[in-house]
Amino acid sequence: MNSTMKKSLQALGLAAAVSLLGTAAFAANTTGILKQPYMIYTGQNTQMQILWQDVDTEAANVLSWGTDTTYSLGSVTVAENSAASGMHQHIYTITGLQPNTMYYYQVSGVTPNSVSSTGIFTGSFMTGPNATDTHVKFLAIGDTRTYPFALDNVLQSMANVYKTIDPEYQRLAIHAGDWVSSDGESNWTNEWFDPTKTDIVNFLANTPINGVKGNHEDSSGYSQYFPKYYPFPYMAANMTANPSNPAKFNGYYGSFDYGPVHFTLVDQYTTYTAGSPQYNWVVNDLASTTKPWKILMFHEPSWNAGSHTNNTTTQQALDPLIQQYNVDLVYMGHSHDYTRCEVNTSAQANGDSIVPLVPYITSGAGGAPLDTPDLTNKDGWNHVVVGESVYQYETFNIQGKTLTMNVYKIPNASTSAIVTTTSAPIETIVLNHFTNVTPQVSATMSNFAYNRATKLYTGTLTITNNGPAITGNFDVALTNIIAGVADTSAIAQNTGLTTGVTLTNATGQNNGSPMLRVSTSGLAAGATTTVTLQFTNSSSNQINFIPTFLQE
Amino acid sequence: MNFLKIKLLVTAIVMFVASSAFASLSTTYDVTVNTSSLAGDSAYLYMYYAPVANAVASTATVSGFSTNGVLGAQDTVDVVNGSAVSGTLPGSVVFANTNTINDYNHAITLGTTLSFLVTLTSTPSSANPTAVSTFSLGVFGDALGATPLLNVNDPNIPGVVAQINLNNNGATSAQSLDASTSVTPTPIPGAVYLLGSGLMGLVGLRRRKNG
Repeated sequence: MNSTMKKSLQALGLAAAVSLLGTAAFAANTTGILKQPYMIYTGQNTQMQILWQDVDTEAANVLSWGTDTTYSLGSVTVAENSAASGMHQHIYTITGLQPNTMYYYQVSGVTPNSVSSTGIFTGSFMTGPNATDTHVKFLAIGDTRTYPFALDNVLQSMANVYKTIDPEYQRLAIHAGDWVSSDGESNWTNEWFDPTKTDIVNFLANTPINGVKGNHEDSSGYSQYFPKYYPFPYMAANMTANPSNPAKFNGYYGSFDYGPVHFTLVDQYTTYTAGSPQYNWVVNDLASTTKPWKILMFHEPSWNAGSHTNNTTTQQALDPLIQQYNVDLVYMGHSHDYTRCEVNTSAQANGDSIVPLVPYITSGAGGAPLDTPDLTNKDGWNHVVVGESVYQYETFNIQGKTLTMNVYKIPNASTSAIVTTTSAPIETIVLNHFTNVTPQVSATMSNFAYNRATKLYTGTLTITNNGPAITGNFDVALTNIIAGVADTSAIAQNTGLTTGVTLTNATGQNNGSPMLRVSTSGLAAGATTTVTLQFTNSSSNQINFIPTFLQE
Repeated sequence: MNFLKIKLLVTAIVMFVASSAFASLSTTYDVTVNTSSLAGDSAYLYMYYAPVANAVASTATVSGFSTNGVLGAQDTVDVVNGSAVSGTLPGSVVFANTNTINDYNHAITLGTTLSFLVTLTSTPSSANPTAVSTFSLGVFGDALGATPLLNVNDPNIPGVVAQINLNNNGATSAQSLDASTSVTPTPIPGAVYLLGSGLMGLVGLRRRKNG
């Protein structure tokens, strides 16, 4: 063992000892706060639910709120939650708020202890968007269990998004499950609510987090502490108490709307195969929503790059519904990495149930021990487009007909220390609700040429509209399979261009593919137009693509 | 005699269909460049064949090269990828569309004219109708293509004077990018020869009958 290794191990041991001592010291409190205030979005844009837990009975905890830090809009003494007798939990749903509005809150009157010498805790939130809003932004994360230091680092980076990029991202975070390593009281206290991790505490106090149950929240079917600490109101109607232990519940599924988005959250630890109550609920939920954007969430991925195998039960039950009800994006966790699986066409699916043009996102590196994704597209992990073993999170930005998901990694996130984190992009996915007019358009390339001086490739795409008039903005997206691989191979499908190839005059992106505006005034019936495509190519691969024509 | 006539007609049609649907199809273009404004200048003829958008396998064959200038040496150093190119001017040079760029560079002291034939050959396919393979000819003052001698103001590909396209369905097209250059199809593709010979046979039979 060299000196560097010794120093590293010493540092690791010291960090672990400090962490344990700190937690132990807080756990030794006999009064005061145990779990500091955090929030749940109830599904109503005029509400916010504030929750916290004390070590012992506290009868004078006061929640105050307002549009500034004078907290002058309301104040209430919050008694212990009677439904969780003896657990000293406090829950209060603030109502009568204005949508799209920033509020500040304070919990006071808590007996001081080693966590807080004042017994006063503050936070803030932005209420949900109007039901008619066409734009919204939010954050996303998954698998936050086991390493509170790593979770702290990830949440620090996520908070930086709304602190330094756009405050609207403070609105909401969604979670793909495996919040903690085990659904036990101490796990929730020492991991998710670790009072020694200020970035965790601050993020939870300022951003409501809604999500799905993971296998570590008790895969046996019934969970006790997850529904206790995250009692999502929109799931209550589906929950069933365990006959032998009424404190445990299954049926932890439900849905909520957020502006233009409909979130459908599936509990994979309650039966959801065809004909089951949950399956029937999912069918009705997806069929009845009128929201333009549909995001389906569950924990164990139907398509991913490992280490966990694809969940074939989920494939069989939910892929047909994803197809039938036009789900836009599937958000999952379980494997501790970032993966996007996707195909462009049913031919590329090659008989698999994966739904073309739907990104299957595995976001499982929010604090858990990292896995290494298998990018070979064999051994059962097919259709992998992107995979990376790194702590990460996502931002979602929906503007009308366009959804943009940015995936960020945190290469310097540590499992043993709080560091000043730096984020870097993994990829950006843009989904458009444009009309695909490819069937009525014919297109041919010509004059494909190379300039040795500029190293640019150019070609002319001639487009003829064989159908009715195309109006408004008219675009072409270039989708592709990986060079040299047949359409029907069950291998990685690159929805963009061949690796190393860039469309330098792209004006946007569609579902991972570069997109170019052909016209702002459509194309008349029978008319022909041309557009120049310009590429760089740092690889020796051929520039191959299949054009998809879109009317915005 | 009617039986013979029908037999010959059927044979001609079968040969035509077979040549169109099951065999390779070739189309030839005549490329002529008037280099009188550059006569006596040292230059490089830069030719390349480039596929895009999942083009089917095809070849471009340069033949019948003629010039009153003086050919120098072939330059195999300053090409992007010459692995799928065989032959040397003034003989035939065959370009496969295997790589992104399949190029050929040859030094020349220009005279007043040069010309050659380009024959594009492929097995037509209905797959990926957008795809194309394009043969291009450029005239440059240096081996690396930094100094275009013709079509010098082109915003994208200065120096390139002629382009000939072969789409996956076998359709071809061509364009001249400079007033110095003409690109014209030679009149009769091979498949039409076959149909034509059959029809000529029919005419011959009719004449014999009438005579």
